[in-house]
Amino acid sequence: MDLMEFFDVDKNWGENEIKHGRSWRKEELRIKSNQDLHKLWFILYKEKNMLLTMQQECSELGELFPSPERIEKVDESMENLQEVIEERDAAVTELETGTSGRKGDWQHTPFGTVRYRLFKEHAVPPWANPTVKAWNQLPRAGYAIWKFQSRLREQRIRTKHRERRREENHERKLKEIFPHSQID
Amino acid sequence: MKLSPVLRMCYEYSNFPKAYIEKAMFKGGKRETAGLAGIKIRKKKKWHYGVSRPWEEENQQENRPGVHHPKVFLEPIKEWKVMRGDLVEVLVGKDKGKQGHVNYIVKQRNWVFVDGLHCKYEYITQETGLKPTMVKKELPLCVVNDVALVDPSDNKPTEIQWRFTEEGERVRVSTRTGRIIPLASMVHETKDYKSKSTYKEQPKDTTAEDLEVISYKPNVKTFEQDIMDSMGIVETKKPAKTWWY
Repeated sequence: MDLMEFFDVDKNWGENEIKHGRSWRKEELRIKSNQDLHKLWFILYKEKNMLLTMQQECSELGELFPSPERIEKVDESMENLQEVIEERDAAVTELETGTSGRKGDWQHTPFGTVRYRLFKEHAVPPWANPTVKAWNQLPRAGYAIWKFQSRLREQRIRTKHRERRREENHERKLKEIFPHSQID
Repeated sequence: MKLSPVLRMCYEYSNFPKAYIEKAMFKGGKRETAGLAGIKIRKKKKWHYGVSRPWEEENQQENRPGVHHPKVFLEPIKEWKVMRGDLVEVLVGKDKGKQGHVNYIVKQRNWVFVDGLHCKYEYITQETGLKPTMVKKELPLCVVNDVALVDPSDNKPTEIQWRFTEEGERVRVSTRTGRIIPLASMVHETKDYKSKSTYKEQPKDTTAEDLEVISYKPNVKTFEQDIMDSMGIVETKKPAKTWWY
């Protein structure tokens, strides 16, 4: 329990570059046991804390923070670890219950459409929740919804048309400048 | 996490993760404001690539807010044939007919820099020094027109095709003579190591032997349950009732 673990090793202070390895890949994490992954998570967590404190200190003192890509590499390893654990839990729930993943359902939006919304955990039942009642009482049709949807459709058509035009013009210009290119 | 082919091939030498490169580019948006209140920096849609890499100072300055560059029309290339370290002949300019090795590639501009050839001379004043010194700088060459790979059998420029050998290996073959042109050893070089076998292990790295150890035994327990069992934690409290909606 040493507070200096928040900082890097002494000989790395003031360096221009620190050599380090690459992030953990999913194939390498899948063969490890749950206990190993549990320990690895905290090692990565502590490393990230150390890097972030060093970054803050260097910016405060006006010094160069060496090798800032280490933070992104640690982030990558942690994301991969999270996904591997989610895979394993999803497999277990699928075996036990027959479904996996987070539950959800279709919900009416104030814009006259329907969207698939993932469920959240609440402490209060839905019949006692005022926001649920408000969402259920939204109008499903009407003048405002009709006007909004028609204008949204016009906007989507316009952007799609402009994108297509931009691509066609770009291709035409490329053929003009590079008539002998072998593609398109 | 799959990298797009362009990004992967350009930055293989740096070995940087994609998230780090993307953070260095495309700044600006609702939250980024200049020093004075009220001035908003618009989100950059197109990055202007140059001689230096996007995370380096020179390229960041070329892409500072308010600076606009004319549109770059790139000839679309299906497969890149010129790699780092290849022997290549220059077909334009003062050094026409000379051969040299490629030491730097910028795929976003179809540029190739040959070691020592197609250069310009310029004076650079050092901040501490008094007299300006003359420096030789390589100029970019277009991959399609200005440069051609050299056939090692007769040392002349050729056109190249990617083909498969009998074993199934993908190699470059010159269309004139049919000789295979091998990749230089510099292709696998990165900032961290010259080749994978010569990499020096750092104190915080996991070694290759530790990576291959298989410690996972499949069981029908969730991650939480497995950890609780191995630590000897027994939960007797009942969780409070919650609703999912």
